Amino acid sequence: MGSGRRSRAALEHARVKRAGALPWLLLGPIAVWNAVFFIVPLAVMIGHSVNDHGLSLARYRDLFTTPLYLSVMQTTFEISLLVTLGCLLLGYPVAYRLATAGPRARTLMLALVLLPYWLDYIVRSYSWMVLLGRMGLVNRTLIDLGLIGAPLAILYTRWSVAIGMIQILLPLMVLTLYAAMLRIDTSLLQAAAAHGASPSASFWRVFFPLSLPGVYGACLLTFVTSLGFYITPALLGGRKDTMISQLIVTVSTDMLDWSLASAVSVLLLVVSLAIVVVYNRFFSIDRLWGGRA
Amino acid sequence: MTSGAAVTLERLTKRFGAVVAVDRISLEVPSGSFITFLGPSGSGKTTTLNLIAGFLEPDAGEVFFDGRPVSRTPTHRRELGMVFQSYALFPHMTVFDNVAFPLRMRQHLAPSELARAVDATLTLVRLTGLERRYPRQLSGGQQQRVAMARALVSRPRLLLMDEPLGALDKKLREQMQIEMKTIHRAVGSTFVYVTHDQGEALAMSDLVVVMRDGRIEQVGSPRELYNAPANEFVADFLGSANLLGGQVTARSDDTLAVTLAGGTTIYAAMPRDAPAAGSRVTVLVRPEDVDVVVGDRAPRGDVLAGKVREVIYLGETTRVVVDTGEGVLVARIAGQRGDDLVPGDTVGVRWAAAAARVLPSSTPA
Repeated sequence: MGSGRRSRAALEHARVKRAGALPWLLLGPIAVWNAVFFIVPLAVMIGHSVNDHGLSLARYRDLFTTPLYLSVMQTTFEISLLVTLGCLLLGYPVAYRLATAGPRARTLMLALVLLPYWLDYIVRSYSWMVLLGRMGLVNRTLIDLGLIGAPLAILYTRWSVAIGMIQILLPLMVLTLYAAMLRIDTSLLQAAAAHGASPSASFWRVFFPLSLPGVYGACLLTFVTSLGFYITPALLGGRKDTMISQLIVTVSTDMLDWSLASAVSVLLLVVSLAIVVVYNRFFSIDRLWGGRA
Repeated sequence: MTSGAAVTLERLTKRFGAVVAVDRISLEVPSGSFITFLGPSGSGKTTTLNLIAGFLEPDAGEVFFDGRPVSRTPTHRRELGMVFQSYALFPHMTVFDNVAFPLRMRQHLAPSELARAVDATLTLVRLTGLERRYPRQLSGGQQQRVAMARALVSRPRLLLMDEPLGALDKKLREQMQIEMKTIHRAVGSTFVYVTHDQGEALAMSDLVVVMRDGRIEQVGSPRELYNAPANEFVADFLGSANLLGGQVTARSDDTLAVTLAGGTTIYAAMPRDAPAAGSRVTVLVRPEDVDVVVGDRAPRGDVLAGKVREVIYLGETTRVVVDTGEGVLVARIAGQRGDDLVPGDTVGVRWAAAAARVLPSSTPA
């Protein structure tokens, strides 16, 4: 009896010891991959950005003193904000239905949410061109219905960029919100009902406040992902809707100024990281990953 | 003092797929009583509570509050209070806001009146001074009290409780049982309580409803259920029980002779519906009625000879497990009396004939 217990303890100890090394070994392949294809190129890029015939921050000064670059940055923020808000307004009700639906309806709805993922987003962006063009499906339908006299200019505006990006980012918003909402204990809603809360009171007083951490997290993810969009604004946007990724491509492939392109890229990276850090301070998105507030 | 709602269940039925969770149960819960649904998991007791709360809709049958059918009344208009197993306190609200919640939903009180009502209820559950804390900053026992306060604050006529003490340790649980009884007397609402803990059911309830497989096995006061269980299931589920199977061989005015499988004849008190000679019956003897005698002093009453298998010292009492020719019997004797017993001892077990109860022949299959 006693020896049995001792040997079990020894076994337990050995397992803990082995478990100590194994997770690190498992991390090996991805660590090597990331080092070779991410960390090293990143370092090279940072190197480019501060190299102007010798070590210099001149390219960063150029960035902040050229009105064109500043307005591109402003546009990028505005479009990302618009896209985030659009995704939130469209995505929250869907996520709520998902979180409160029965298992069968939930499976069906999840499939529908994920369906667009099976179509490449370049294809989807081109499809929007067909739909939103001067004589596209949307304008033609509106004219046929007699709602408008002349075609609306939707394509190559900020609106077409936002529509295309919202459609692409909506699943990300919905799934992130849904994951956060699933963690809201349904017995809290029962408790609200049992103590006199109508369905709408129960939603606004209990469900909605408890879903806010998920809202903050999902908005952050959507916003930061929006910042780096390239194909969609390139295809659907006009000249005034140039986003920062398009700028990077133009500078590096048309102007062949790798040093400036690197500086813009580093700036995008730093801004994204800064947003995550500041945001986490205030809204604690760690909760999204199951951490404690 | 509120007057409690009378609850009536009429052939209430709930199915989940092919499983009948609650099977045509009918029951009258008197106004102002403390009633407990007791049963193992899967017996339908929580489903019944959820039907009363309105979280589930019955497939058939009806729930009445004071004679009015409520199946079409949504939960939030049923004027309930409820304590959940997990407490279900709102994590984003302080203790004060949690307790004030039902008042804010149901009545429009001036802030000072609201504060007074919350304060009075927190005093009732003996939890004051923590109003500005959040639930996660409280111990399990404190959270339990907040949950009680929230359920009671609007003075609902019907209070539903789903294993509310399950997460507490034994000592606190026993203390809360006493407090709940006191609170029940103070507020006068009807309390409907669900538990799988028979001790809890016996300690607090006016009426206990024993459930199994979606059906009611027996309804009665704790005393009735313990002393006159309707069948083996109830006998075994409430307290521990020695159950002896045998055949009625003789009957007199107040005793019944039952011959057990091993050939021993024992005597039992005559039940209300006297079984015919020759019929098969089960005899219940509670462990606390069984005495263990050492050596061969002149025996009185029924004696079964046996060997001690295990002696378990529990402080107040000692449980002695004895192998007899008629199977294993458990005796519960005063704590110190088992001191000189060791496994392997030859002993006799006996009990007064009046302590042996014949169970109604309820096995209809």
